[in-house]
Amino acid sequence: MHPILALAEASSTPHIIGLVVFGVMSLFFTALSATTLRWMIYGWATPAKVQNRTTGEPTGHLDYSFSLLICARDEADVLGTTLDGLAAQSHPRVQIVAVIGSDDIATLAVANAAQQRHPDRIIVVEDQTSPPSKPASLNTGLAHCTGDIVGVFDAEDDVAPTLLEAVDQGYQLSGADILQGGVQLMNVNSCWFAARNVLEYFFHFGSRLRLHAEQGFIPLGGNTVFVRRDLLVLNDGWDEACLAEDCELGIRLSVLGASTMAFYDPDLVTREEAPTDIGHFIRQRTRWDQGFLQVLRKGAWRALPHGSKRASARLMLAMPFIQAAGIVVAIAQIIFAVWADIPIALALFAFIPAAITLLSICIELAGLREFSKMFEINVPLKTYIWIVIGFLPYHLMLGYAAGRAMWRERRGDRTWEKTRHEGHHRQPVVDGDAVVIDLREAARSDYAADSEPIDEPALAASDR
Amino acid sequence: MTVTQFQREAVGPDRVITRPDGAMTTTTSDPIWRSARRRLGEFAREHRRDLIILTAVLIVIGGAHAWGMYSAPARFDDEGTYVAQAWATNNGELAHYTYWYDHPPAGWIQLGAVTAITNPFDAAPNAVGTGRFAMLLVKLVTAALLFVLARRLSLSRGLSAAAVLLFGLSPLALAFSRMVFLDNIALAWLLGACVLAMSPKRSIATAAASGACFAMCVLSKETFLLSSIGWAWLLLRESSHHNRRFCAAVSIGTAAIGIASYPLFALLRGEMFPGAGHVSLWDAVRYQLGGRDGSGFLLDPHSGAYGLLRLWLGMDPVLPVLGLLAALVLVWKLPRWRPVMVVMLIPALAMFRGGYLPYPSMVQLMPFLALACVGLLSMIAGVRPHRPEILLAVGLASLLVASALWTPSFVSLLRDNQDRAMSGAQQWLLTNAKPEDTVVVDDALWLDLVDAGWPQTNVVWFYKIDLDSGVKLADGWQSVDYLAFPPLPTDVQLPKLREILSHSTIAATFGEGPNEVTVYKVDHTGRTPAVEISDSTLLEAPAQ
Repeated sequence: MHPILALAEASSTPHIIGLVVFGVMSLFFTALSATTLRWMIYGWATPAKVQNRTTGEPTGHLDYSFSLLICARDEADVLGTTLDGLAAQSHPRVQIVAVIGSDDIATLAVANAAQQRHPDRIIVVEDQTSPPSKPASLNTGLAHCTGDIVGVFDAEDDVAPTLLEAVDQGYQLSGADILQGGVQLMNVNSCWFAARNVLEYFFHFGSRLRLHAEQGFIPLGGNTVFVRRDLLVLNDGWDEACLAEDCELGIRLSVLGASTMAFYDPDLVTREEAPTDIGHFIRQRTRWDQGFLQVLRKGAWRALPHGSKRASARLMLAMPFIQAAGIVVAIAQIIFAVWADIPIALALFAFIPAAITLLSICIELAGLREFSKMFEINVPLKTYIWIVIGFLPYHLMLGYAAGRAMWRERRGDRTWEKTRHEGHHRQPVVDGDAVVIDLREAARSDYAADSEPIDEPALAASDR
Repeated sequence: MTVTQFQREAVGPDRVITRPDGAMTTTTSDPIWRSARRRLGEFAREHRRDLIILTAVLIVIGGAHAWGMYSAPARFDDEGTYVAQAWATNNGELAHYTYWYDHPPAGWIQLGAVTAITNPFDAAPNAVGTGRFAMLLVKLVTAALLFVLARRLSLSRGLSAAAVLLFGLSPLALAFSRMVFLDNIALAWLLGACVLAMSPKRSIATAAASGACFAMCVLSKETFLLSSIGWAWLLLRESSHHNRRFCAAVSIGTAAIGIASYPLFALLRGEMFPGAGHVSLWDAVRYQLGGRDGSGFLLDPHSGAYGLLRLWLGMDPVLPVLGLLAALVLVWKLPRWRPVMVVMLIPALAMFRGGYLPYPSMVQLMPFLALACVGLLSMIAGVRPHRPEILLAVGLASLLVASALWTPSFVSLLRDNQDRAMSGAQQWLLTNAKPEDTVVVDDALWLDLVDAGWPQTNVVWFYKIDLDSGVKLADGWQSVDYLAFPPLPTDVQLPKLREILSHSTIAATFGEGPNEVTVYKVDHTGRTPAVEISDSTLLEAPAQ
């Protein structure tokens, strides 16, 4: 008798139900890990995909004008240099709108000083919304914007000086409503989980967002994002109640049919720093996860035209939580496969998600190498080893953050937990014989405001 | 300044943006089957001439393969093993005896799946013949892949077809590709891996598929692991600098993880390491790597390996010698050909190491040898592109030499019934023995007897009496009634079998020489042994 038939005859109904559940779980996690894998490699899928990651060949003319929104709170240390950098954009038509809380005297002073230096480019807007939040400040600033295109940046961003020219070309060539540029964490060697965090950005902006943009459903990043101003104004700007206002805007506009282009030009990425403190990392991740949860619950994605699109949107928004549950269930599956009385074929099948995950670690190692070549950063062997052995602890941290986000959302706690910036991404730049230390690196000071979890409302400056 | 004007429309709770240029309208996509049919049509139009030539070539070599494939070469013990194991997998077991990790099971699982489909259509006279019909399909796939590989190496259509014809008509390749060997299945996967590694798309998806093919190749026959360096090199060399790191990580990762499923499988069955009362992968690997006597140095005239080499070269001296020389020239002269040739050259070199040399080792090399011959021809033509008569002359001369050397073995493979002895013994048993009798046989007969109504307990593969602790004869030699096999292998001690033989008389003999099959009847009256087992009755038959 065929062993499957024999099994069916010999086993009790609960045993068979258990096996079916086991098989379905394995199938689900196989699909899940395969989806994650596809998101990772899409940007490198073919040589053409790699060549198409920029905004295209120069057209020789610039057609648009820009308003750049920058919201800052307690960022006196870094804001000045950032504003100078933005004011130095090579594009001729740039308006920079710095939105500063009216009670934040120090930052306001820095912004006003920058305005004095670049009176033709910078305006400072005092924000009186209470409680302060990034989306509320963005909306305050939006009212003062005059450019065709509104761009968003954070207070500690290192922005490439020719970025806006490229974005102008991108708008001309693609006819898109929204352009999402690359954001890249740079401090790959600063702590054991920094490389993983850096690679998350590398794959998120270099690959995954480009796929989402092509699919017409994209959670936007928190900065280096450009939207047509008329489109923003017509759709009432950002959602002030949402912790992930960037993601929410992307979803809302996608649902309305706005088209997005995502690009990742290594020369034009906005450089940021990864948190090196576990507490900060978890608070930042909790905020993103909670934001995703809010967007999921708000349900704008339900208006998407196709069932399959709705399903993939739901999957995308729920991904942090599914992954958190997944890591636990996957380990349980493997323990079951080894010790429980399960047919050998089914037990082998349960290892497929683990195999795909193993493959994704191989891809991460290749990605780290690619990153080090792309940005000419020396990555020692130790960092590669941390990628491998850091997999499980890193995902346990993500899982904890996801659980924490659910707990906070359940309690109705939607306050901002601010991320601290230390300027690790501003490493000394070797320029010929001289070593030029970035101004902001020199101006860096202790930033003690965030050493304890902050439950009082505070404005986040760093986001994707 | 050209900002498109948006209009507001109230639709339900949300607003919809529309643009005057109508960019909002969703494009309706074709159903999958229609777009697939369209793409297939485009593909056929684009590659029409390739498809016509390939079809013609496949008909020729398919015909040569099929003509007489059930009667030549004679059925071989291992063929019976794989067919019986394939039959066992279709019944939910891994082997017809205790599975002892002799090879990874993927090869005969595939064989079982293919024969389950082809069974109703083939007219095989015996169980091994069923497997040989499947081998015909494997051969056609292999030949088609060889054609694509040659085309991807920038050979012309004519030369690519020549490579396939060389491979398809060489008597050596013909004989071995007809036989039910795991190597033939693995070879198809190996060529698939190489073809995908050379895909002009250079995508991560094709790299992953190439890795999966290579994993299937090694899982079908573990000795193909020797081609891994050549394959990986080929993949790296043919990939684009834009995504090389990712292609390498995905393909090599996929291959390694796929192959690792075999030890994982052993681990899950609790048979990774040696222990009381069960077989283990560890023991099997130790046995395969050094547990049995080596076949000696390939070029030592007194070694078993030399005998095998003579057998191979006797069937076809052209392709192995010329192909190997051509491969060395290509490695030296043409950088693009290096990795493909290394795919073959490492296993070829391994033959000289002096360890155990499996009977079908040559299978892995054959298509690459043919490719090398044609590649050399193309290189010579390339040196003097304005003198095509040189190419023609060299081609014609080699064709003449090849056909003169090939004709006898080739004709014999098409016309002779080399399986007469085995068929005779099979017929004798079916006529004279009853299913209640216990028969000890060569594995080539095992499944036929089971098909004829013998209970599995009454048909015993001769090796298993000594080598499988799970096979027990209740009354020792007296449990056995008949025995039938060709001359026994000399590289394994089989004391229990020899004891049974010492109580037997020869009942019938079919054929002569290495193909001879003898049927013995066990004498239950207890008289003195009638058969003297001397070394002269033991002929060398290479066994795997």
